[in-house]
Amino acid sequence: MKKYFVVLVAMVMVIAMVNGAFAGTITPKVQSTAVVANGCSTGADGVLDFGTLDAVTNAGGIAESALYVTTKPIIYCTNGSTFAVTAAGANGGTNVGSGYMLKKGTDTITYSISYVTPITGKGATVNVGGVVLGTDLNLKAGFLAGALNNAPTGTYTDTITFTINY
Amino acid sequence: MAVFTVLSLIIGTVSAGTPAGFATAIVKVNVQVLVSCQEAQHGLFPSPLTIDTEVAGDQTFTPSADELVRCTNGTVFTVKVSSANGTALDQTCTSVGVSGMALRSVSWPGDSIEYNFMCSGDTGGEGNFTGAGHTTARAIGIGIKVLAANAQAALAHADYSDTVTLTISY
Repeated sequence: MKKYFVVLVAMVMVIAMVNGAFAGTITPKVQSTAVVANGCSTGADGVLDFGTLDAVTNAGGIAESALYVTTKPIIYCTNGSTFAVTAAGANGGTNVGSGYMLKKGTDTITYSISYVTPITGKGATVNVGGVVLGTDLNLKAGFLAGALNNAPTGTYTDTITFTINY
Repeated sequence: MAVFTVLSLIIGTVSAGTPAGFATAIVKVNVQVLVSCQEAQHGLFPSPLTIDTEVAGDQTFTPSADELVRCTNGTVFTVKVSSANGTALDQTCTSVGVSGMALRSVSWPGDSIEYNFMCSGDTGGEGNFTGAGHTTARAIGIGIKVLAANAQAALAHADYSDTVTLTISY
């Protein structure tokens, strides 16, 4: 009789242990990490249009202004990060300065540009190629006095490539 | 399986953190340059001009200051001449000269002396001038010629005058 009792107790314990596994909770934790990479993307080309000028009316040159940037270049960059910007004109001139040239055949007109570098990104939907904030590109352009003195009539063009490094 | 996932995340992180390169934004630039001209120096003749009625030939007078014009480089322009006391009105000025010009006596308005007004700086004798840009003024080469017959027929007065209006067309 004593021997039989002992066996019964052992069986109850086994059942209790199984039940305990179903009724309890566990809170497993899966750790994940992510890093948002710095980056920039660009969109449609900008347009810098000086309009119509002549050597008499504009003999004194025109001060650098953002008003001539009739279409702002589209630049999206990672929010809060800063990015150095360099520039190069197709006909000469680099970065901020006065060595840029508009060309019509062999005729040239020298002009200057200025802009902000580094620029500060505002995320993937806010263009920082404009003039909204002081940390935007804020492109400006102008002519020095006498820049048009020897320029024959006609349309002069140039292309500036801005490189945003990240 | 779990271990494998964690390793993948770490590899991805290292890759994304590496400087990726650059983006480029293009800005097209343009300007249209228009023609422009301006007077650089006012033409002026000595005052008074002395016309000798005894000279057999034509008498030509050069200015004390030529008319100088600055125009856009390469632009062809013409000079039109009008005489306040003559019949010339917006006549194209050439090196050959414009007739219909007249000096008139202020005190004796009925007395006048006809003369020709010349622009010897034209190219080809057709009254065309070519702008040399706004750092180089183009000389019109103004001059007055009184034909011998007109000089010899002139009555002596000291107050002959005329006002010549030059119109630069471009």
